[in-house]
Amino acid sequence: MLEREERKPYWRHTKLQMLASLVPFILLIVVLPLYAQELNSNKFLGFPLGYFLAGHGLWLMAIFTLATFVNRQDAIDHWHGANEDM
Amino acid sequence: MANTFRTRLVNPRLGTYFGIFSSLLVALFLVLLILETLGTSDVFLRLGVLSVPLVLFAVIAISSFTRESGEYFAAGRRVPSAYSGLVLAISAIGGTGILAWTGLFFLNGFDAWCIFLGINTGLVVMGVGVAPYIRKTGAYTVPTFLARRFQSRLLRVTAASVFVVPMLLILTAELGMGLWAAGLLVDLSPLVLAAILTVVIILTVGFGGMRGLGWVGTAQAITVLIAIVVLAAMIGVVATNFPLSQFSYGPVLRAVGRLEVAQQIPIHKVSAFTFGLAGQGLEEVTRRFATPYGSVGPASFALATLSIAAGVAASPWLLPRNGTTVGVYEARKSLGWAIFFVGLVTLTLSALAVFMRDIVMQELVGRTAGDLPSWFLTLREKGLMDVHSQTGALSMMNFSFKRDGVLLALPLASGFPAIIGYTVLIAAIAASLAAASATIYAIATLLSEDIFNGLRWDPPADPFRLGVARIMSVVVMFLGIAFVAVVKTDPLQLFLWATGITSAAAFPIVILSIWWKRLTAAGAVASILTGFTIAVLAILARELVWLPLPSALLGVTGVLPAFIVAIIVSKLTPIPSKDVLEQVRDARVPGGETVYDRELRLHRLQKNASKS
Repeated sequence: MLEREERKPYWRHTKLQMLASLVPFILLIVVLPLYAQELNSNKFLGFPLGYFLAGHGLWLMAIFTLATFVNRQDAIDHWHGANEDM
Repeated sequence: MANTFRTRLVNPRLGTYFGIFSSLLVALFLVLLILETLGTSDVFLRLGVLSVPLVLFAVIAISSFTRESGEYFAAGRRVPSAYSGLVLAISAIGGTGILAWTGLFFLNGFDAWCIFLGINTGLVVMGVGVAPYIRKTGAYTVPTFLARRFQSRLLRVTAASVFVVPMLLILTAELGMGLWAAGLLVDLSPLVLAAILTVVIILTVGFGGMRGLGWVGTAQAITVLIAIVVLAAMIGVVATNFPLSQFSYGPVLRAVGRLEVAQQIPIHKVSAFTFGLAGQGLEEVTRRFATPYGSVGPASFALATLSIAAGVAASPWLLPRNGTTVGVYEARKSLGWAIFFVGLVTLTLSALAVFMRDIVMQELVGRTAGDLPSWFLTLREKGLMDVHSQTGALSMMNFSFKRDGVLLALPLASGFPAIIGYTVLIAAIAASLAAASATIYAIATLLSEDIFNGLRWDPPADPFRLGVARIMSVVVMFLGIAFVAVVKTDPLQLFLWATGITSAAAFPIVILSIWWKRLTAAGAVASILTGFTIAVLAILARELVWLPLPSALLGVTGVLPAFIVAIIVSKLTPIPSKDVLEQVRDARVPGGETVYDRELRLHRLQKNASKS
């Protein structure tokens, strides 16, 4: 159960977690494809590196971002007593 | 219920049921494969591939029938996160994704990634910033969520009226693509095919609502995964000695790159704002596969990614799916699953496109017009490919390909049995059905809950409430068929317009309503109308006069003005009441009972007390 005085710290913590999860990911999504051509001269698993990172890499990054978010946000919920009581 | 264990809510036999469904599907394909080798007529095989999965979908739909509103609108809030994510993924991809994306990868190469990156980012934003809070409020539609958040009926009706527009575009795209794929599979008139798809969709949406969508959608997603992952594994084993070709097609891609150099395909660099993704007609391959920005400029690539991301994150046709999960934690997890499945499908399609390029460059280029293989002639007869030159050795530029036919062409060109090609088509039909059903459900619920019953806070009794929703789903289905008959626009274009309009009309308000307490109802209404008007006017203006951006990217121009208008109008209007602020605080905390369910429970208690 979330105590009244815990509301503000909980929401501040949640906002920081949201920004920590979204800002680096969105920056990466916008910036990485711009350097794909330069990265393509390298190889990874037989793929041109820029192509691999823009497709497979950003997909794995999205999964990693959401997995860490779910884990960290759940920890925040428990820390402040805001978690579901199921 | 706060004191119920979540594991008890979930049906423990789900895995068994869908295991049986998957086995049935695989058995069907194997039996038809045997029949094909025994010389059974092609018409029978095609009808078998179309009818058996559709009958299975219909049976699941009928068995999902419900008379309870909690089941109809939220599937009893007991769908496990993996199933919810799977249905969300297939609804986001749709038939347009399955067929058009493969063609885009084949024709545009690297530049096609902008669509996947958009959906990928949209799902991440939805999972982090939207879905958990929509799940906690428990609203059945996005306008209901907004109306309860701001306690404003005007906002409810405004949002519902505006959000219907992009959803109709998605519906038209998906039904159009589904009918096109069905037309390729069986030689029936479009009217008969439309009637068949209508029956399946009405059974899915009208009988079980969100419950039907969940279980039929899971079956449709399994059909898609079996068809394309098996195809990719078969070609992967032949071409790369490894069945997980999604991660092993790199050497084939490099071989394609070497062939591109040898066959003198030039390196193009287009201007920053060019957006030249392939359309529906026959198009030549003029770009190298792994080289970026040959048809989409860097600025357009980023803009398309962000536009699709914002549209998907706030999409009123996908967000209601989050209400079916067991809790807020599961809603977050379900988005992780959705990202996993969308990525799996897209990587598979990109691998298939590379294999197709490899086959085309090795088997077609260098031949003369009179010496083309039989698979090419078959596909040319269907209008899916063509050759322009009749003299001398043919180069890559002499061929043109229909974007949406590339996926179907691959099994034929690889020399696989015809059944494999038919399974690809039924996968595209299944994906179209999943996306169209989700959209029809979303529009019908929006019309019944937010417009028909939208002016009263207390919902009517279940029989009337569900009756209206079911009737609306039938009406919307026929509306969709009428749109498909009239609107002949490219489904991918419709998808891009829909996400563009949603990004401007819905995204700012959905994000601000959760993350900014000070937002007022007036600010929300003004923002929705501003974003929608700018997006639609910009798209229409581009169609009539010259504008620097392509119309597919113009919708997103409404996002910033919509944010600004929301903030200015909210600052100019009084601070929201204590009740409203309490609602926001409640939605932000995962713990406690789902807000909407609690209100319904209290409403029922009050009603019972007044009766006695």
